[in-house]
Amino acid sequence: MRAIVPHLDICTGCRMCEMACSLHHEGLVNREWGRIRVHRKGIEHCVPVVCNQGASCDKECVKVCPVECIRDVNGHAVEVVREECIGCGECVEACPYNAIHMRGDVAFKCNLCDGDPTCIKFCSLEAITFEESIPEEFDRAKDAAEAVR
Amino acid sequence: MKGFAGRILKIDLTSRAVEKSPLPESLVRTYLGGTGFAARFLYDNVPSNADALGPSNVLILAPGLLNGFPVPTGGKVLFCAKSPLTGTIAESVMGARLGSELKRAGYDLLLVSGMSGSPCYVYIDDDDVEIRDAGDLWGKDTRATAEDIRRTEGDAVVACIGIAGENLVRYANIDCEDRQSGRGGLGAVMGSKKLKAIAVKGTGDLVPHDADKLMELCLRYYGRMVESPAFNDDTKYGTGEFLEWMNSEKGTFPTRNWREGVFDDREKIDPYYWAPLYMKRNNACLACPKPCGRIFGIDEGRYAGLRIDGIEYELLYSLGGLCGMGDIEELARANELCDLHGLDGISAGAAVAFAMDLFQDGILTREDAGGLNLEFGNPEAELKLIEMIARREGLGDVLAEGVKRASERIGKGSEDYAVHVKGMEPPAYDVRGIKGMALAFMTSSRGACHLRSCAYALELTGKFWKFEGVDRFSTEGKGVEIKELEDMMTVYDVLGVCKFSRGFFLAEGFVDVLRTVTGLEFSESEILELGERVNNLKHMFNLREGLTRDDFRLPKRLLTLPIPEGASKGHVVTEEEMNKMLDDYFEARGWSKDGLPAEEKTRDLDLA
Ligand code: SF4
Ligand code: SF4
Repeated sequence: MRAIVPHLDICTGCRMCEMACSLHHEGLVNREWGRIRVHRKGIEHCVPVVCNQGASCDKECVKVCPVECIRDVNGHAVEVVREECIGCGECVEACPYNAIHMRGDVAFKCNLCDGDPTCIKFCSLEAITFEESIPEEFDRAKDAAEAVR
Repeated sequence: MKGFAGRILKIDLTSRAVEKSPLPESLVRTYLGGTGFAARFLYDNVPSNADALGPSNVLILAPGLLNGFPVPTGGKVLFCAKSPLTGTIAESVMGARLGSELKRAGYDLLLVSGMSGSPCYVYIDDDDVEIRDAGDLWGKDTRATAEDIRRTEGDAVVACIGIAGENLVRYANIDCEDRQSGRGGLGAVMGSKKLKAIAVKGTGDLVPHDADKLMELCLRYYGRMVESPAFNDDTKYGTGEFLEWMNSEKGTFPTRNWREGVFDDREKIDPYYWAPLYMKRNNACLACPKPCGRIFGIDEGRYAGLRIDGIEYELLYSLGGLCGMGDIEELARANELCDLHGLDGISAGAAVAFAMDLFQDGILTREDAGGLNLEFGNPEAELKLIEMIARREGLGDVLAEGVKRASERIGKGSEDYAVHVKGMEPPAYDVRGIKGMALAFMTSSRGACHLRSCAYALELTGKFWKFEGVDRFSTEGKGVEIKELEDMMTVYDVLGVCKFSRGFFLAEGFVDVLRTVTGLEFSESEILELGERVNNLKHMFNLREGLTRDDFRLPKRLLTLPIPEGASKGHVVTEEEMNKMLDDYFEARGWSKDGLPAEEKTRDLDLA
């Protein structure tokens, strides 16, 4: 299964992924609408945080959603069906990667742009790659995501 | 208005009043953003002959128009005020998130006036704006200050000063996430207002005029940048990439306080040597896919644990060659001191080099220097002196005034050793061998500067944009050249685009980007006219402060001491060449021989 794999030592903190993500999905630019978000940890490194689509988790968001609006829609991405979301926020709490967010009354998360992720197209030094999962990289990302929660 | 936040935020630290007002639509088309808004509001809000370190000076934070959008390298934001170093307009651009965050908080511009009675910091969280106590932060270095604020404010983007700004060092800078608004003493302006930091959190949407088209444009320019031949070298070696070329091939790397133009220890400070050993990762400005910034780290020895963003070309010159110092770890430590204390590394290095030069000729003694052996190339002396400058101790107190004022204090002929234009210590281009660049140093509105025009690239390669066959040793045609380049580069600072992208955008690219983000239609010539307008306005500000033709002069050393060795050997700018180029420039600008804009010029530019 292919997923967006973050590489913590490479991320430059340019935030092109963040900006392009919200522009693609919402037609505007706002980190608060970003499915991928970059966190700066002092001068040491920057951490891109994004959903791994179950490659490295047990799809906790899917499990906890009381109305089952988080589903594997097209076979490669876990998606929030916006119209059905009741805005309870359970998934946000449950995600071990801090990769699902609420704004207003809806949850939203990365859906891999229907298989062709926009963020990847803007990451010049390949700090995020779209490939078969790399468990070690996900482990590090999880620790980092925990630290920025 | 698409692309704009639509409001201006004004804070007065004396009365503690906070005012939010709509962005005047009349200014949008004529100034657009960034340095355009900054120049207009500086001119309109700072009374003439205001004390740069007094309450009536206004500190302006101006995001570039494109800040926040994924236009590649469009993340540049600037601070502006009247300069305590030069008495002219000061503005300094940095690649930090501060601008986009301010826009997302809902403001296209922030003006801070007045003076707080005690240390404070400004906290902006969308509509919520507070002036908070900074008693506990005063005295802390830039990194600790930002960390402390972020500990309580989470994701806020923090710009702050170090002790140099608190101590009113005339070239103190403002730091934001290890990037600096470096030149002209803007940190001292903050210090004078007892303003330790500005913290911004913004959660609003930035809505472009045409989102689909914008995505397409961003991808196109991104692709061009990433595929360009320079991508690899820029990201691997950073701005110092062309050091050997500047030093050996061109002979224009100012060395030992401009006694020489070639540094014999070049290979020890060349990024081709040190990047593979010390570089940890790339560190980008907001929105930059081809980052020249990098994190330099030392893991062993006495500086183990050191981390800086650098070492940038300019500081390889000022803290390295100019001081005759060729030890890369000591240089990194000097760079770190400047960053932590909040000192402009160019001016600080130049001040140290100036002192070393006086020491060599016996004008300053060991006693004057508090016992320091100020020989060129002595790293201990350099580091100690930087510390003394930031703390304003002993000789450091004199050097904290900048080389111009310091030489006036020291006397004894030291004026001849002070290399500056309008009081600003110059960047790393030995203009005796780059004549057009000499003119650019002279004409820059903030004092000796390479970035108002970026003429070095054209001069040294012979071609750029609409210019071809340019000869760096000739003075022909330089007036028009510098005028046109200044107007073009000003557009970069209006939009907030990096000038290292000058090969990618130019006026035609900006027409597209502007339309897509704002819906405003501009022709190429209208964009350039906007640049011209802004430059004239900055000049009018300087004139109002009493600037005269004499203030455009080069310092004596560059007029009398030819470069002794290397590829530019024997070259100097003569008095005659200086005057000829300045006459040409004034004419190209439509100004009189004394530098006064003709009435029709100001009228044509809507400045009358
Ligand atoms: S685009 Fe890549 S380098 Fe830039 S912030 Fe995102 S993950 Fe990091
Ligand atoms: S949002 Fe979180 S829990 Fe759900 S699939 Fe992605 S990483 Fe797993």
